[in-house]
Amino acid sequence: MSPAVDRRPTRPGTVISLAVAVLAATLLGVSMAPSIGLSLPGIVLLGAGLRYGCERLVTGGGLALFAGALVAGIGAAGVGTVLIGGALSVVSWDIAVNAIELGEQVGREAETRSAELSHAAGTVSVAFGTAVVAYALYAGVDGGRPIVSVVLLTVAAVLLASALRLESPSST
Amino acid sequence: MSEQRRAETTGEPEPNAEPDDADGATVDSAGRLHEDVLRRTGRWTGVSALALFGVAFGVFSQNPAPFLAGVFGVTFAAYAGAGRAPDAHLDIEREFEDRPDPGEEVEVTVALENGGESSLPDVRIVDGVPGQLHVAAGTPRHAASLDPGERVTFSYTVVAERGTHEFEPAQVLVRGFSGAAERETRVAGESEPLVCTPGSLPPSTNLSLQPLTTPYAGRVETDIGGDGLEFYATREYQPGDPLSRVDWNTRARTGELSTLEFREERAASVVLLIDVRTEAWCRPDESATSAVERSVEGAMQAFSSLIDAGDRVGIAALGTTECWLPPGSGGDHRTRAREMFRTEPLLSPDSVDDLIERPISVAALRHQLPSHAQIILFSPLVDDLVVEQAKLLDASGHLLTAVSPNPTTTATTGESVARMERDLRMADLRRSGLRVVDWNWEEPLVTAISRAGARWSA
Repeated sequence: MSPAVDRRPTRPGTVISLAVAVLAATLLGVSMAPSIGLSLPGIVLLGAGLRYGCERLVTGGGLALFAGALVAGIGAAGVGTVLIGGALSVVSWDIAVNAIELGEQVGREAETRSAELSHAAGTVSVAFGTAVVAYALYAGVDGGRPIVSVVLLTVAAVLLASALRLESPSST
Repeated sequence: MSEQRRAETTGEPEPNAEPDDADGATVDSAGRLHEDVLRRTGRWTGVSALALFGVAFGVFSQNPAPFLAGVFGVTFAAYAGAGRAPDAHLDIEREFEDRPDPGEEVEVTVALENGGESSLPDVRIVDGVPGQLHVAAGTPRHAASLDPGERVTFSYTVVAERGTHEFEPAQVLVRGFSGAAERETRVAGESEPLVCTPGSLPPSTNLSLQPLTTPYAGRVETDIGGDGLEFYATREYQPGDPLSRVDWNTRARTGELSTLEFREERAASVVLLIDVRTEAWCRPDESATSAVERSVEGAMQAFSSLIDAGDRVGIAALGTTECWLPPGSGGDHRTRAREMFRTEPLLSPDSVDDLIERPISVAALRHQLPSHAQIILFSPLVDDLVVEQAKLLDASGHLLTAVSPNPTTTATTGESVARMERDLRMADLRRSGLRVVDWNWEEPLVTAISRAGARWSA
């Protein structure tokens, strides 16, 4: 009479996450074909993780997608493409993890669309905000390559340090 | 700051001054104290490694693009670090049909409103469905994003069961946009409990009482000549017989005076005997109600139906003499019976522990029974003792009808054997001249009675 709660990942999250992953892979694949070698397994891992509700598989898939973006950066793809690809892979991973958590907490049957969309909106705005700022930084100092590298490396290191400090005390 | 201002204007004690205070106790609208739990979800843990990836790739390839991509690791780590679980001021309301019948499906509509001033991007709610009710359709779980004052509704269907069912506080998880921290809280609304009492059988139901009656007028046709509607016999005229009862046709034909007699209709005195021994606690599957509950429901329906028809009805439990309401009629009696069905622990058991383990013999019950009382026994008939006792009661002059909810299934071999044994017991009772109503699990009592009635009248 009372059916057990179906705890698989929620449907809207699964669909959006996979769509975003495919978009990222296509974008990167068009500008640099070899990156497909990483992003395609990434999509497969993501799909498998969403099928079985396994967060580790999803994280592996997200990492593979992100690595695909980095590899595209090593090759011929432009900075803009790499940033968008990276942003899309983080978004795809985040929505997938959220779908798994929602599936565990409220189940697949429950209506979850508005919560998932608002969560995705937060992640998308941070991801693309980051991409825009990073691109502006890059474009602003569009001079000799060594200077850019040094500046960016410094910025990255400072931000990294601050991020690490931000994260550790609050995580209990 | 807005929190502070709100507290001053309304004069209420500040419920949640410290958003990060894990022991922040909140007094909800119902005055009940519950504590919020704040925790980090850890879902962004390790995201800063993306930055290291980017740096490594950048150094390796002497290319700025991977460096730049590494920035995602930094910003998302900061995003997660800055994430807080928002304060939740939620109000919950539940709506459902009042006083459903047992077994009826009731749609519960839950409305959750954000009564606070901050918007809640991610609210996950699991409604506190009363423990004894089962969800038949839909799900009591929901997730939504709620702006201040926004209201979300969702609904699910439960199967009503006899009794008073209080809704428990709903469990709510509130997250910010990043989902890095969540607040677990309980929201207790001022919902009315779901009260479910069985109604009476449809008025047309013929419970086919056996011809054992009280001296009072009623509806059971007897084999006694006297006042009534149906022709019964003629007899020799005796002085004092009313003139209207003299059979003038016979007088015209033969010249002798004779008197017409009609079948008397009298009220029956019925005791509803309910099997509340531990043996009767059986059910077809885990989520179903027990046969005891089913018996009690049947008894309640039969009670209202009989008392409406003017019969005298009493209540007794098999195996004990404590639970006893002598046959009676009228409004007071009806109230007493309703009270007994509601409060008597034997008749509203929560578990098998509430029932009678060592039943005493029906000999004690026979002392209580009025001499002209007939018995309707409600029992799943899953052991031999009850059959024996039923035959004993019937033989002692209290004509007995058994109404037996059927808890058996045929899923396994053992269950099939149990079903066959029960069929044999019913056959045994019928051979002994008792009436048996086999009440299948899914069907209403009326259907079972009319099917059995066809067998009796045939």
